[in-house]
Amino acid sequence: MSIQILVIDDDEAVRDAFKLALEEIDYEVLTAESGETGVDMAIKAQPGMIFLDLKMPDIDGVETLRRIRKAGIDVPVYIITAFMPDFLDQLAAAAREGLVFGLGQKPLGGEQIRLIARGHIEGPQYKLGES
Amino acid sequence: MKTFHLNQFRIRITIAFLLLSIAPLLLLALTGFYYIKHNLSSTYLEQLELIANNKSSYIEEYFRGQQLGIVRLSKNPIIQQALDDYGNNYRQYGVDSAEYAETDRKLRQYLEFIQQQNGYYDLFLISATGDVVFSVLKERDFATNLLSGPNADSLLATVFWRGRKTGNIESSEIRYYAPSDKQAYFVTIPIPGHKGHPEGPLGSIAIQLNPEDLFSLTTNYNHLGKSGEIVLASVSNGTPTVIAPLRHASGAAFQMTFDPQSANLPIIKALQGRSGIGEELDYRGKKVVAIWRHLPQSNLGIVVKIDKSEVFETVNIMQRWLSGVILLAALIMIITTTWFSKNLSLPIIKLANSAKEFAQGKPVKNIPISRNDEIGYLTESFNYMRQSIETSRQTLLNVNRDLELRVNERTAELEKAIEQIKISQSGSIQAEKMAALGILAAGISHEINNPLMGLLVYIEYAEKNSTDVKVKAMLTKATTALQRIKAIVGKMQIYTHETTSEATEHVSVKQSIEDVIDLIDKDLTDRHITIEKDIPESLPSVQFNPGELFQCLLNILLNARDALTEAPEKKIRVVAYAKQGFVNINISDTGPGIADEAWLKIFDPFFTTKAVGKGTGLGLYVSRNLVNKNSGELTEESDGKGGALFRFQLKTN
Repeated sequence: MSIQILVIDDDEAVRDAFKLALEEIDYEVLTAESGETGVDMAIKAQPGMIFLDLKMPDIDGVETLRRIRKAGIDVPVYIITAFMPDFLDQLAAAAREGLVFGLGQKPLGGEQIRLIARGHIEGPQYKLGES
Repeated sequence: MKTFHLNQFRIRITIAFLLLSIAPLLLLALTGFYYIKHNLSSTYLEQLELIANNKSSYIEEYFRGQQLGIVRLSKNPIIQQALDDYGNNYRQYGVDSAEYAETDRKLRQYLEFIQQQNGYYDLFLISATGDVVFSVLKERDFATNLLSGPNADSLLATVFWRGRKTGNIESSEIRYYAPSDKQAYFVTIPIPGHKGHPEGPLGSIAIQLNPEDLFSLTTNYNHLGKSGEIVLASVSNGTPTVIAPLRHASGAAFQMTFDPQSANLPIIKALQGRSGIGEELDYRGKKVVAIWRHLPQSNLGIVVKIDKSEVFETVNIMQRWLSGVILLAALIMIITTTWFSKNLSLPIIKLANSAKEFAQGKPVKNIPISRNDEIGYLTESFNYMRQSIETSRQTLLNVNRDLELRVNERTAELEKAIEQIKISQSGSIQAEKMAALGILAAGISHEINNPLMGLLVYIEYAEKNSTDVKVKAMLTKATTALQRIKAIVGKMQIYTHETTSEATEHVSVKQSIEDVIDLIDKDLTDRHITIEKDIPESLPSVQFNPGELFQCLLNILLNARDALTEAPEKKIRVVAYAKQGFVNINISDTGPGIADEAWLKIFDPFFTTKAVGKGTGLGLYVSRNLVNKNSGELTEESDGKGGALFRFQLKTN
């Protein structure tokens, strides 16, 4: 079975970016357009990691993360967002809640995406910083 | 505004009082005078009547006496004989004869005696034929014939012939008699013949009387005051003539005449036979109280009169005196009422004026209370009221002043605040402009993020999967260009992070630091970076915008993280402690530190040592601005051991 990575983002360009970047290293990319869809998919597909956008039309990223964690899914979730102050507040709140997640700043290039994914999936021996 | 006649009250009172006091006086006076005048009139009239009666009786008596006298004479045999003898001798022998002289010698003495005794001016014996055969005085009328002689039309002649005709006593008018060269009047009586005498009457006796005998009658002014007068007049030759001296015209006797037509003169009335009493105008034209009588016996008229002005003299004096008294009383009354009403109206006017002045805001003193009546009471009440109002005014003024002071203070405060706001506004207007721009930029950059991500990977994929060298090169260039865009977007994002909510709060430093660390913890772990925390529980809260503090801390920590990418030792240390009203946060790393030449510029905007795409140049610049904005300080202090040390100094609340 190939590694499955779930990307939850309402923007097609972002989803494509992840898809192209990760398919290059033979990861299978599942995409969801909204938080709710994403939660369902996460539960159904049980991916190896999740990339998550904060700003989405229906439920936002934090709420999506909450539900995912509530569903008992422990895989690494990487929140990718622009560092806008409201988002930071949300993130801080989420962190206080005890939700676990990683943080990445948009826009991410393909190399950075592969870096993060590999780092999480294949473990810490994969060194960061090597482009 | 009503017009006020400030004298009206005073004048009204004065007039009222005047009327009240003087009207009764006048009334009393008028009725009194009328009564007195009436009384006086009657009194005087009574008196005059008395006098008139007196005089009239006297005159009548006098004349009657004369008549009686001559009657007696006529009956005297001696007189009769005398007449006879004298007559015969005169006729036969003439007046110068011895026989006449003889008779005269015998009888003259007796006849003279009679004349003297009776007070006659002259005594005549006249023969039947009219010869004046005897006269005591022997004036020019003596020895003439009264029929044919020179005195034929004299008073004596007239009366003699009348007597001869009537056979009775006859009296003449009182007139001027030339032979005597004076006023005279005669009474004659015929002597009838006696039995022995064959030829009728013997003749007549005549007496000549001097009107001046009567003068004393009219010149006695007893009880006639100062202007009282008796007018005695007779008609002589048809002309009413005064026959006795007048008080008011002493030479009037036989000189003053009256027009018989002036029927209203009392004397004329008297001569016309009327008697009366009343108030008339006398011959002088003056008003008199008069009694006029006709004296039938003597055919005279008599008027006893007194000037009305004298009658009423007392009354007039009293009237004048009373007028004076009334005037004086009126004067006193006017003075009194003027004083009295002034006493009333002046205080009232004074009070009113004082009240007006007070209302107009002029300073007014207490009005002295000089009387203890109603006006005094009013004055006192007014003073009291004025004081009360004054006090309220004063209080109001004080309150106003206080308010003003406070308002001024507050205004000064406000102005200061406004100044400060203006000062900060000029900065914050700028900042606001930037904020607006920033928000726009943030929005745009954020929207760009997503397509940018797509583009980056699209181009990468295309580049990787193209075999054409030139195409590959172009795509590589495209990738570079996109990286630049990414960098710009990144800068914009960080730059715009500054313009967020303005609120500063009491922020827990410990909480903020822990929030940030929580955020990047996973990431750090992935990078094998350890983070040490030394943050006491009892750290005081600081005055900081929480979002902004979060941002700054995150920024520094991310820098630290990035600095450790190549470092052999990957450690970040965060220490926080309180010191002298500040909270210090020290974030240090074990990275390479900051190069000397870069040290001065690290806080400059857009300065970065990171490779393109790896970092922005705005982080420290923005962070420092944010810290300054929150009244804090951010400094870099390398401790020489290598690695960077960033120190936050934040003001406690």
